[in-house]
Amino acid sequence: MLTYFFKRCAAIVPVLVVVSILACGFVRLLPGDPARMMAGPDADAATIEMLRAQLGLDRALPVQYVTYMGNVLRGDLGLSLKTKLPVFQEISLRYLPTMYLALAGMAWSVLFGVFFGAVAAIYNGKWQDHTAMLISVSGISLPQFWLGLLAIQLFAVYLGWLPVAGFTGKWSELVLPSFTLGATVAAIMARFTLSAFLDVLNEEYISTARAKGVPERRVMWKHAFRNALIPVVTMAGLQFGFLLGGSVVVETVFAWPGLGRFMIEAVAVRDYPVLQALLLLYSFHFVFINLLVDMVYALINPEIRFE
Amino acid sequence: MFAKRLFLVLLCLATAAAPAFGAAKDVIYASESTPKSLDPHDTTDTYSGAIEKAMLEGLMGFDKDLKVIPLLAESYTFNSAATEFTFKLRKGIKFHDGTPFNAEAVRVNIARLMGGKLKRSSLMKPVKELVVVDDATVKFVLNEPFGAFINTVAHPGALMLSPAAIAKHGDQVSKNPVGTGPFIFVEWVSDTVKIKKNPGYWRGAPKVDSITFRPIPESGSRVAMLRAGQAHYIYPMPAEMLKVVQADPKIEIIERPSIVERYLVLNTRFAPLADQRVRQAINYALDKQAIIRIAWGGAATEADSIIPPNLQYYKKQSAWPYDLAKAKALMKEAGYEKGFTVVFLTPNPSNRLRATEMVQQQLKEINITGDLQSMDVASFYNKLEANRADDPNLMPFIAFGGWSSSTGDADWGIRPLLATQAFPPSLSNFGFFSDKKVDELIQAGLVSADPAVRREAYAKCQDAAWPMAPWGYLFVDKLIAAKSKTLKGIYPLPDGGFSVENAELTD
Repeated sequence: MLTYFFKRCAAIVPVLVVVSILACGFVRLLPGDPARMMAGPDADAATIEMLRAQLGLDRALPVQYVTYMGNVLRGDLGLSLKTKLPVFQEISLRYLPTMYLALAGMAWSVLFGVFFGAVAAIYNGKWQDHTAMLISVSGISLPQFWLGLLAIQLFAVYLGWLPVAGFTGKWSELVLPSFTLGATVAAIMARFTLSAFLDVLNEEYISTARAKGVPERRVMWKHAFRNALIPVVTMAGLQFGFLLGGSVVVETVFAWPGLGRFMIEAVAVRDYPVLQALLLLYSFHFVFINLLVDMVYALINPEIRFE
Repeated sequence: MFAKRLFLVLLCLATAAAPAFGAAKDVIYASESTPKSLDPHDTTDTYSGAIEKAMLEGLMGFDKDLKVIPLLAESYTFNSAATEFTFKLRKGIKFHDGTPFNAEAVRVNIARLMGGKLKRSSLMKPVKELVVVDDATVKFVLNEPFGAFINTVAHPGALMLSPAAIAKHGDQVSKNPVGTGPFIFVEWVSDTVKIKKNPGYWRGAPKVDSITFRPIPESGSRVAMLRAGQAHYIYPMPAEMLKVVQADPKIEIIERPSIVERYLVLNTRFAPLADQRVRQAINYALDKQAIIRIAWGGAATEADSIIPPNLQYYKKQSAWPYDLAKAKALMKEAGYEKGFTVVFLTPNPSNRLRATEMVQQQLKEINITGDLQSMDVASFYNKLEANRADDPNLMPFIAFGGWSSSTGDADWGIRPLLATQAFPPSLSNFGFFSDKKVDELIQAGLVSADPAVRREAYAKCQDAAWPMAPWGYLFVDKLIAAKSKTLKGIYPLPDGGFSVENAELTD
């Protein structure tokens, strides 16, 4: 399994190379000129030209790409065009807040999502099922900014229990944003768990287990639940990949100093080095998480083997 | 037993810490923007510039109405040709790091700007050389007359950094700004900037211990911060939420005029819009009050000159009333009774989009029709700046524009937008408006630094340009901030920045 793990890790490299070429090209396909945005609304042509030369934007695209990749291989992601600070430093500052938010949001969603989904499946067609699904459909339907602002009004303004927004290192600041973020994902997870669970319950081995007199509780947890978890884990992995990219809406509503907002601000001023680095990072996340998900399969079901 | 002892220790610690905590007066400023730089010579956005001004000072500065006042310079003189400006420097002032402020410090800063590598280097373009006359006197010698030079020196792009800090940090001085101002830089982490008071400030130490600038981009959250007592001051205060906040007894609203003028850029290279009568008709057809009320939440006043009232040398013009009959008559006279088709362009923030949609509806009344294209700011600039005056296929557009003259002077409010020299790409005359008389009067305002001469030139310039209707005139923004009643002495400045020097927290 370890060999398999390293093989898969090595396969990430070519993916990232392709992504880097696409990223470099795509960000430049956007209309708009970073030098213009850096120079400010009242800049004259000379200042814009000066910046363009300084930023190396006057060179041919392949030259820019090769220079960029050369620096990346030496561990230098370049300077943000906007702040002139190292991109690596800017991303590191925002990586942990996004990671915290993603982990906490994921925790909420797995906890509630899988619970509601399982309840709905076990009590299929009964009132428990309807209640759980009502809650999860609401979770998908409520826009995050609305849920977030409502939670702020209630818990921060009226009750005064929690901070409104921002992250200065206190855990209390994590509660509202992670809950808001988790609510949507929880709903998705619940729907997913329900359908996976129901699929499994229709399998013949479940009927067999019941027929041979295995107690119902054991059928549910040992036979059905474990197998139903496989698609759920895949889904959780995918969702986590998205969350690691930083949720733009939640990070904006809660003024969270994370990657999502950073990305949007970088797009607005066409901060190429930041955008390229973020796209690489996001792709890495997905490839790596997919790998982890595959590993988890083996833990859940030892029948799954790797070649 | 152990638990009890621990509890006692904690209790002692808590009581010991409490008074110190209560006494520390930290003001939380919640803004919409994020800081982009703290290097004044490389800053182009108002928010970063305003934070810099809390720490750094220039030879000249602005008061709360944007009038130029001496700061690190005691006084100045200039020659009649407006080519030599001499500043007497204040003595005995030190930068936060102990470096003395003197002519040498000015020389280092100006030389850095004149080096041409920074975003504000263009400010010093008129300067031929800086002469250090003695330790407390400097003289700027210009290439050609530039009457607005005093305002250039007052511009936030010409704030003075400690020469020692420049030498030590180079480009990274942005993360280590050292000045002579009322506050000292503490840290800039992620998007949050913290500054603390300078006890030895030459005009008297500030009354608060520190100020933290926190960006809260979503306006609903910003208002919630203020209402929950977790921020003392928020800017901008969203106009659509004014009613909620006005009902809160702990909160006070501050409204002040700005120098941000909004207008419609009319592409005068497109035959119908080249006709002055058509442009006048457009101005009669615009119901400015309705646009202010609906698109801008009432937070604006109708424009009554080509520059806003708070700009130096503004002269009020007669209002352009909403008069559809007159508009239709003018269209008929110009031979465009059946109208024509244009493209409406706008950046996509929702208030501008709404305003442009209203313009589109209103101009339909005089048969000017067309599609509306909204795009993000970068694409918007890209679209306007790609145009060249001699391009025969130039798109016939009407675009939503806005301008704030960062020098507080009429010159930078008019020349970049209406002078023939200012056609893109060189500056921002995106409508290619060109008039010989206006050009001459703009020049007349620059050949002297004598306020009387300049006032007359700009008065004539406004009188001449206003009736020609180079733009569809819209309105001048009002700035709205909101603050806790425990906070005094912070207010928004007309350029969209703020002054925190006199901040005071009461219990």
